[in-house]
Order: sequence, then C-alpha cells, then structure tokens
Amino acid sequence: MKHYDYEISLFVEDELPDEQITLLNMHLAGCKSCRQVLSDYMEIKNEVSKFYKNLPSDIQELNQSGLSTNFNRSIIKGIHKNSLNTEIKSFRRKKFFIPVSAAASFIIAVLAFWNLWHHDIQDTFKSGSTPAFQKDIEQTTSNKNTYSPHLYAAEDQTTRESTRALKDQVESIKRLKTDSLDNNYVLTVECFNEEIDKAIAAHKDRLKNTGYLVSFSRYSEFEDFNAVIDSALLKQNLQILN
Amino acid sequence: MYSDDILRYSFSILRDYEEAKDMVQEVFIRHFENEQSFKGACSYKTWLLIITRNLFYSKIKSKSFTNERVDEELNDSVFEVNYEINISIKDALMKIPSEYSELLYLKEAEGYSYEEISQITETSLDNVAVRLHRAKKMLRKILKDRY
Repeated sequence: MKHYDYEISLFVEDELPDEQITLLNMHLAGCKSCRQVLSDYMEIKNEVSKFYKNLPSDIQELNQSGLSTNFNRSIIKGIHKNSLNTEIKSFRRKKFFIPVSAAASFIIAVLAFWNLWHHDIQDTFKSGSTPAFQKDIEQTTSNKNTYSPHLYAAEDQTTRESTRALKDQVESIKRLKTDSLDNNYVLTVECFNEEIDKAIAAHKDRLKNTGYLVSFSRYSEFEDFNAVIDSALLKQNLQILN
Repeated sequence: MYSDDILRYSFSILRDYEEAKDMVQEVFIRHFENEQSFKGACSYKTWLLIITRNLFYSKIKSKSFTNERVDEELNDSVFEVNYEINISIKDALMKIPSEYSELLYLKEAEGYSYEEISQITETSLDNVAVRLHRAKKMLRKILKDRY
C-alpha cells in the first residue's frame, strides 16, 4: 500500500494542490499510519513555530543577563566601526587631543593671570595706590564692555592660543560625530565678548540639532567663530536645523 | 528594525546565539554597504534574510569549510542521530543539518511560501518542498520516542 508521506508534508504547509487533497483525504480515511504521520507533522510544525517565535524572549533574557546589552546599539557601532574604521583609528590616535588642549589653555590662562598679578603688585609697590587689576575689576563691573589694557594684553595672548584650540576643536567635529554615539563628548566653546556670546547662543540651539552636547563659557574673543563653525559643519555635510 | 528576525534566522542556520549575534552585526554592515543595490524585487525583510544567507555561505567558503549542501541525493541514514527519550524540539533542531533548520524557520516561524523560500535560498520550488519534507521526516525520527 502506497503511503503519502510527502503529500502530507505539503498538506500541513498548505502547499498541496486542491486536486490532491481529495485523494489524500480518501487515503487518510483508511490508513492509520499516515494519520499518525499527519498528526506528528502537525505537532512538529507547531513546536518548531513556537520555538522560533519564542526566541525573542530568550534574547530578552540574554539582554537582562547582560550578554547582549545594547544589542541594537552594538549593531550601530559595528556599522560605524566598519564603515568609518579609518576615521575612528585616526580619532583614537587623537582622542586625547581635546583634554590636552583644554589643559594647555588652562595653564596659559593661569600663567597670564599670574603675570598680570605680578605686574600689578609691582605697580602697587611703586605707586602705593590701588592695584590696577582691582581697578580693572571695578571698571569691568561698572561697564562690562570695557576692558583694561592689562586684561587686553592677557587676552591677546590667550586669545591666540584659545583661538587655535577652538579651531582645532571645531576642526575635530567630524571625529566627534564619528563617536558621538556614546554621547560622551562635549564641544566646549568659550568666548569673552557678549556679542559673540549671543551669536554662539544661537549656534548652541542649532548645534543641539546635530546631536552634540555643547557647552559654552566666556573665555576668548573670536570674531570669526560663526564663519568657522559654519564652514566646519558645512564641510562635514551636517544638517543644521534652524 | 528586523534585527530579531535576522537573529532568529541566523540562529536557525548557526544554532549558536553568540555567532548569530555577530552575524546580525555583519548583516547590517553589509546592508548599509549595499543599500543602494536593493531594487525592491522582494520585501525589505526578505532582502535582509538573503543577505544573511549569502553572508553565512561566504563565511563558510572563506573558512574553507566543506559545506556539503544537502541535496536530493541525501540519504537520511547519512545523518546519524542519537535517539533520546524526551528530547526537546530545540535539541532536535540542533541535530538536523542547518540547511533543514533554516528552511523550517523560514516556513514555520516566518510563514514564507515555498516560492518565497526558493527565492531566499536560491533553489527550486521542488527542492524546497523535498528538503522541508526531509527536515520534518528527520525531526519525526529524532522525536519519535516522544510521540
């Protein structure tokens, strides 16, 4: 007696042509063995389906156990690691640049202040009057847009340094973007002039839309900051949403 | 978006979670590299599964594995199975060739038609039907003590 094992397999998958279904039904009515096969294949179908469909819950368990934490994120990272491998390697070589440049700027600022203070102390001993830096502070408090010559002198020195550092920071935007997935990077932009503050505040909102964490503080005068950051963003083909 | 599907499909081929996860990463990398080559001839998900499958076989080739595709000439007796009482479906799936578990996944979990499976696996409709039948037959053999 011919058995219909193959046809039963097609039947459970709804792939058996209609004309053969009738024949199969007639056979099944009189063949216990094939009925058992049908029953087993149905059971296998259900169990296999259930097993694979339940896999995501296993994956969640894996997530909870930490085996695949941030799974999707690791996918994205994998993509970046592959497609931007060269850039990341370059970034890794230079990733210490930002803290080093920040530290250098700080040291320069301290030295500048120390020079200024030393100069004023000498003035005080010479003239016996109020130290110049105190006058400057008083003057600055009364009129924020007015700076003393001493402060300007220090500013000129620090501005050059900080401008260079800032340019480097702006130039490093692409590298920041490359690894900004970690959201660990803060683009610190500093300035003195209130007018520039306002301009940068506007940029701050715009930069937020690029996904950067941006912090601004008063530090140095940098007239062409707008142009530099615009060209840097443009160069990297970043969308700026106004 | 389809990472779970790719992971499950990878798992059905590789039968190893860690390797399947690595595979998903690589699939997405390849997907991004070849995104422009997607012509819309099949669904996006199907396309991703095809990438997964191609990647798997290219890896096998690169590792110089002897990938003996299961074809119509395969004799069930070639595949030795250990008959166990109360064997789980998972263990049973681990015991059959990946070419079979892959088809079972596509059919039973994804619900693809034979035609769609033949598109993904680049084989004929008859081949898909025969191999799926053999897969179930083999599983039945392994699980027979349970039934």
